[in-house]
Amino acid sequence: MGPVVNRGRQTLIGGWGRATQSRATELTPGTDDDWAEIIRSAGSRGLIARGGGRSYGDAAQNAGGLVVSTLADGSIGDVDPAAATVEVGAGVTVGELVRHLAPGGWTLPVVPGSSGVTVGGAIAADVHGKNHQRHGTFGRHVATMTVLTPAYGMIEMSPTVNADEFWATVGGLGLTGIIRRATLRLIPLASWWVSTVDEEQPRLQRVLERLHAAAMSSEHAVAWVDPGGAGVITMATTARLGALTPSRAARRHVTPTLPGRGIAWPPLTAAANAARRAAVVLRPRHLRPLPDLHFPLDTLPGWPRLHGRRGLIQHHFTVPFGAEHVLAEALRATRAAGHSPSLAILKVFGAANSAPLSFPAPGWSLALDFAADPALGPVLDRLDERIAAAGGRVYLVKDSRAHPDVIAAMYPGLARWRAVRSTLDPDRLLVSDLARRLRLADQRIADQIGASHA
Amino acid sequence: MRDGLGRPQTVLLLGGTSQIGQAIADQLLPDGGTLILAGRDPAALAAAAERLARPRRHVATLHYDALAPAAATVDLLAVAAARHGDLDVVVLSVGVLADEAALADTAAVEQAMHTNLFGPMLAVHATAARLRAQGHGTLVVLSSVAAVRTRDGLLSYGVAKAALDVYARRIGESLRGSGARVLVVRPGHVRTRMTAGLPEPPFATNVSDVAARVRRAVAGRPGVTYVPAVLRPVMTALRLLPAAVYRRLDPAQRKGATP
Ligand SMILES: Cc1cc2nc3c(=O)[nH]c(=O)nc-3n(C[C@H](O)[C@H](O)[C@H](O)COP(=O)(O)OP(=O)(O)OC[C@H]3O[C@@H](n4cnc5c(N)ncnc54)[C@H](O)[C@@H]3O)c2cc1C
Ligand SMILES: NC(=O)c1ccc[n+]([C@@H]2O[C@H](COP(=O)([O-])OP(=O)(O)OC[C@H]3O[C@@H](n4cnc5c(N)ncnc54)[C@H](OP(=O)(O)O)[C@@H]3O)[C@@H](O)[C@H]2O)c1
Repeated sequence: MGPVVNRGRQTLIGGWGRATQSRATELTPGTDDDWAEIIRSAGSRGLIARGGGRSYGDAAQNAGGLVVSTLADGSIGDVDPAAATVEVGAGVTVGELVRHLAPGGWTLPVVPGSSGVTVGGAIAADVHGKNHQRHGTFGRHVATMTVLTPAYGMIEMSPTVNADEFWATVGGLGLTGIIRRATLRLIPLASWWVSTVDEEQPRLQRVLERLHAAAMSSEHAVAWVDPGGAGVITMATTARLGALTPSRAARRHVTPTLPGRGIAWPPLTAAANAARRAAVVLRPRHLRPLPDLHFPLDTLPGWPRLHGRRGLIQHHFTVPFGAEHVLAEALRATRAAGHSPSLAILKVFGAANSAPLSFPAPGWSLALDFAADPALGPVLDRLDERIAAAGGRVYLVKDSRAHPDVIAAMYPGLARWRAVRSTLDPDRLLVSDLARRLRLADQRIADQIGASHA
Repeated sequence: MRDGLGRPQTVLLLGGTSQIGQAIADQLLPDGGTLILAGRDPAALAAAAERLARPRRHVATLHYDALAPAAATVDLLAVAAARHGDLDVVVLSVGVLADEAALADTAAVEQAMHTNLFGPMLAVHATAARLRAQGHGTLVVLSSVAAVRTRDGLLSYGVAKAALDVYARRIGESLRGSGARVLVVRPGHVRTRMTAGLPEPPFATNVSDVAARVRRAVAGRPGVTYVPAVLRPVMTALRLLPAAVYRRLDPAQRKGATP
């Protein structure tokens, strides 16, 4: 029996940042038959898969259509120790997986910054951790996956079988098919505990130098910078303490919705940044459980609410080495406009992979959190142009405001991706608010119109 | 789609040559997007498209005539969406202002009512259906303070606006829960070609004032907005006055000074 696609019951579905939302019919299918029925009965507004809903913007929204949750399949298979792999359902979260695998001495090579991210969402965005130079993105460690596509039904994809389809689905934002299951490659884990060292630096230039060095020498490296460019570099290595048993999950703090721009109000941000730097000087070394390193914001699930009624947007971009001036300008321009980021996180990226829409490429990564104030629009639009000119790009899954033409310039593989996408989903059943806004899938129509007018 | 900063991406203007409509569209798409001008005069539309184009703002034109059969309006919306994606905001800014005295023959009344009421009503209906299916979008309907207090000198115009105003608000209520909505705009006297040469009553405004207010209202929730805002209490008070007193208070009203 398939689920009843009851279009009368639409609910408001938003992004993690609370700045985007739209109405859609939400379904949570359990079986393959349920999924097949949903694909068959999707109307003209189509459908999109939704995992943990940890995208900042509108990637997992679909106004007027279906939003189909993958959370019903959270199964975790047995680890194959010889191959160092595990087969999981797309709805299992990375947080659950990291906890589940640890006692056996295994872990995921790539872990994003929120425990609620599902395996499906991690593949669909080709997410990265704080160790991109070492381990690349999540997609690199997918041995094989089963994907439900509108054109061919369930098909297996791997870097060797259906390779083009595989790489179009990695980073494909749910627009090539629904990832149902994946076999992931694992790495051995020596301890549930990590030793971290925090180092304060007063200038952006120094932060970058030290972060780059840390990315070469430690397993994980990340830096937090304040709007003036001063920052703290955190490097982490596995602790010698060999315990593998997961500790209890950290307490979550309840947060109110703050008035106005909330924590992004400049005097508040400045005070918080000063306090953070002082803490580093007082106590630079820590022994932390793994989740504290991977998922620092998990203790503050209400972080978006702290940005006021309009919510939070994140502007996350990468620029090649040598384009450090764009990083400085991002901080300077937003500060000059009176919209300093409430949080700014720097990372180092290594080599890119073959996925046309994958975000990481060699260089710097800077993620900026802002209260979603309309006045930011022109400031970030201008910044996007600088990023594109420098050969950089913004992270699609986190976007909520970029212009379609700038995206096309940032992702030269877009045309190649569209070609594969249209074979997997010729009737364009798979669509999201983000895909509509950035016109990711529409090129065929746009080309036809262009041609007929030429 | 509207973005995370509340900025619409695609705006369709029905009455593509309307001065009020163009000012609204201009303010709704300050940083880029697609503007579709729909109207009946190709040369005027092309000139407006050139004037309103910006580095990141594409301006397209389509044919629209409020006197055409309903199917043409339905098709127009379908073509606009097929070419340019979801319609985030549709601005309905069609109208003619005719002094009642000039509507001497009955056919002229028919023509005026078709332009000011019947055509716009069909446009409201067709647009609401499309926005409902989209699951998002705002329809902005240019009503008038004349909808609240009808003047003898602009009787047909006032009656048309009053009916359109009621219709648009009710359709707006029926959209509740669909993600789509209707915003009814009631300007007083706005300085445009429509009012050129008419005596200026108090509270006259410019198109930029209307546009700024509509931009704010589109970002927020109201179903009805007055321009300027002070007209809300003023019109409420006027509406409560008996007709005889109203006539005596307002010597200009027979001349039809406020559309
Ligand atoms: C606090 C926080 C920290 C973060 N840190 C990082 C980070 O360090 N590195 C990083 O790369 N990202 C990071 N992210 C972003 C996050 O990893 C991505 O947005 C990820 O895609 C979210 O996964 P999800 O399961 O929540 O998916 P959703 O948000 O529900 O969906 C995201 C996209 O994946 C698609 N999708 C989901 N499941 C499937 C499926 N089964 N099949 C096909 N498509 C699917 C959706 O259609 C949508 O396009 C962070 C997010 C938060 C909130
Ligand atoms: N100006 C004011 O003081 C005022 C006050 C309150 C309300 N309003 C309302 O605001 C709206 C815009 O007015 P405006 O001041 O901007 O005047 P405007 O510039 O004259 O705009 C009127 C528009 O209606 C169009 N139109 C007329 N008949 C049409 C038809 N049959 N088919 C398609 N389009 C037709 C006109 O197109 P053409 O160029 O082809 O004629 C023009 O684009 C109107 O609804 C008006 O009633 C105006």
